[in-house]
Amino acid sequence: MTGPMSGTTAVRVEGLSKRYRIGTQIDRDDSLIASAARQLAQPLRNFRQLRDLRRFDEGNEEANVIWALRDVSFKVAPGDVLGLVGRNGAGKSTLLKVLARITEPTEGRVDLRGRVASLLEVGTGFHPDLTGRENVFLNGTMLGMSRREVGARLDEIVAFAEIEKFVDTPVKRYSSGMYVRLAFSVAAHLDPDVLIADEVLAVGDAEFQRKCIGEMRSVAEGGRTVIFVSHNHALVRSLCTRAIWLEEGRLRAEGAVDDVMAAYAAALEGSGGGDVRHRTDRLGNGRVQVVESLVRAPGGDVLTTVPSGRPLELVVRYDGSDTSLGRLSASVTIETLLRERIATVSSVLSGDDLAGLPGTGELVCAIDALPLNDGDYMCTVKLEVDGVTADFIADTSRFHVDSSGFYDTRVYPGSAAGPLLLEHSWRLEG
Amino acid sequence: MSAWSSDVAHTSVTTIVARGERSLRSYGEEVWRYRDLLFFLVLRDIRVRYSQTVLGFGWSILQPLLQMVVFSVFFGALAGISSGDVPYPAFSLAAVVPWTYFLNAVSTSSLSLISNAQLVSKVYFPRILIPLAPIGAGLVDLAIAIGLLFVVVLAFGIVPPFPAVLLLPMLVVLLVLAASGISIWLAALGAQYRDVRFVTPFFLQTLLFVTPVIYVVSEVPERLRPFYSLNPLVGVVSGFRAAVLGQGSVPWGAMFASFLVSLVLATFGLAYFRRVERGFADIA
Repeated sequence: MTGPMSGTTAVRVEGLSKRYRIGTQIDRDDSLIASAARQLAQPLRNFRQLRDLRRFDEGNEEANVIWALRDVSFKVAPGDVLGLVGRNGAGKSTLLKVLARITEPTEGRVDLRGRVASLLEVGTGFHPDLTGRENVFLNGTMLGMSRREVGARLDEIVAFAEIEKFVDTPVKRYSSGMYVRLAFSVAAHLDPDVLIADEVLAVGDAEFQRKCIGEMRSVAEGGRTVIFVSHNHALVRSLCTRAIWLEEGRLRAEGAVDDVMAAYAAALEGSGGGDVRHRTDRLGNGRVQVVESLVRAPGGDVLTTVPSGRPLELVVRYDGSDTSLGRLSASVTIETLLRERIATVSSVLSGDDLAGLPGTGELVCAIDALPLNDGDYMCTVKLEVDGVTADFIADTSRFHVDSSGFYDTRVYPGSAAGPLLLEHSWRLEG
Repeated sequence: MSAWSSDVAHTSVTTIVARGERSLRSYGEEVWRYRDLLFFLVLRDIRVRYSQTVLGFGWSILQPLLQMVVFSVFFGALAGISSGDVPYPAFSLAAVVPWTYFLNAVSTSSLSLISNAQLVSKVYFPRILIPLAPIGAGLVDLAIAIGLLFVVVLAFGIVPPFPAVLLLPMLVVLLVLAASGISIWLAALGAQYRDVRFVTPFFLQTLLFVTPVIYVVSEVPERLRPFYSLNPLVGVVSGFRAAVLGQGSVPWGAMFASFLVSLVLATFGLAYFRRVERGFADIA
């Protein structure tokens, strides 16, 4: 099992598991004395909790532990482009982070042959105050190149990104397109044996995306290996030779890309998953369609458990066949799993003008502080073009809310308190 | 075709396992491979440190200079603390220069893993470079401040003694080692226990008082000296005074103690750092 790799394997993953500890249950008190005693003992408990973040005693209660990956094994041959698919929270990002050596597995083993470059985010380490040239060196050396290697490729990198004139300008003065082009360009010129990439192609304009995809293809055609995560089924089908489908941390299917994607698409039908591309139970004229909806921390990771009282972003990825969409308005209704409506956020209510949008893109609704109590919720998304419903789709994504941190008292409101949490105070009068 | 992809059969294999132990040698080799990144992280910290300030590097002169004025007025003039045979401003500046470097380096470095959490969770490279970068970046300020120190000292009519002044590079090495030894601990602890953010300022303030910055070493009772010299800054600061002001003889004993203590701190700090760094991405 643990012998040397055969010459035809670029990546071998064996029995890989990764366990995370999630929020600890909160004890409740029934008396003032008990509450005071708990407050006094809080530092000790905090210390234990922080210390235990990475510690797992055998036979420990499984309640606070999730397996982001469970016994995953597969092999990738040199020259293969492996697509990694699965719903939000299926373990795709965790697998990439283990392969990229960012986080350590709990069990199992990975062998990677040759030079590995990982691209989990475009422009990691870019600093706004540094010039384009300086950022290329910083980012390039961060991704594992030497200064000399970066220097030798600098002209190519800058030319590929089409920013020749601005190479000595601080990147904070760049347009977001220039920024992304430069960042991708550095990664594209790494020349690794194994390239590990998270959905980084979802950035930049359509023309640059085509260029990036071409670059990825040429990496693979050069006999090197690419592993990448994407929610874009069409891209996975066109770019990848093989695919892996993860579900709840386990390997659900592995094989030729068309077989895996067909199985995955079939399983997504009518489910509550974030990717709704293959859903047919829609209303509207279809001028624009919801591709995916998800819930995430501001600008950050996709959340399946959302802390209440904290800022949150509802993201709707859409795809419109024609590029002139006219005036688009979007709304997301949050409902309980019993279809009780809790709240609706809409660009009409907020007065945000969504005119002149590109044909495909991502709409983000920022919520300052989510006032929901514990429970499971789902989103229903509606897109309108010029006041006419273009797409209406229920149960696009689900999320769980954890309300234990909503009140400063850390007192847990309990689900009997009702679905909404209000900031409030009490005083005596008269 | 690039060199490393020309012969797949002979390229190296990276193995990732749970709780994988690595030899110090392979760890060292990896850090060495990423040396260029350290250079650019240092460059970033230098460039960013004074961005959007009016005075820019002027602050690396003004910071110690203002501190010298404050100490001279309150401790030298008002409290009448003895500075031995040297005017109080020159006396205090000789200590303020290394102290300011230490203070800035340790403050920034101890929080570096938190302020660079984005890097830690998105890309792999030897994590030890993150707390080391601010320590390297501070050296530019230190060089400028040492220049200032010579100007002030000469202005007071003191000529730095030869050959003791040649000890300065060695003292800077001791200072960097002391800052590294302490910062590695604070950074590693701070990644998991954010309490470090609150402890560090208090720790540094206390350290200021147990370092001969505002008073002369001879004020410290003789019998406490061995314990006192366990503070790695005692040897450095006394060394600075001997090298630049010619005050007292070269404190070889305290400097050696400083070296040993810093080395022990850095060695065990590195061991602790290596033990916990694999989890940084999970707790960041």
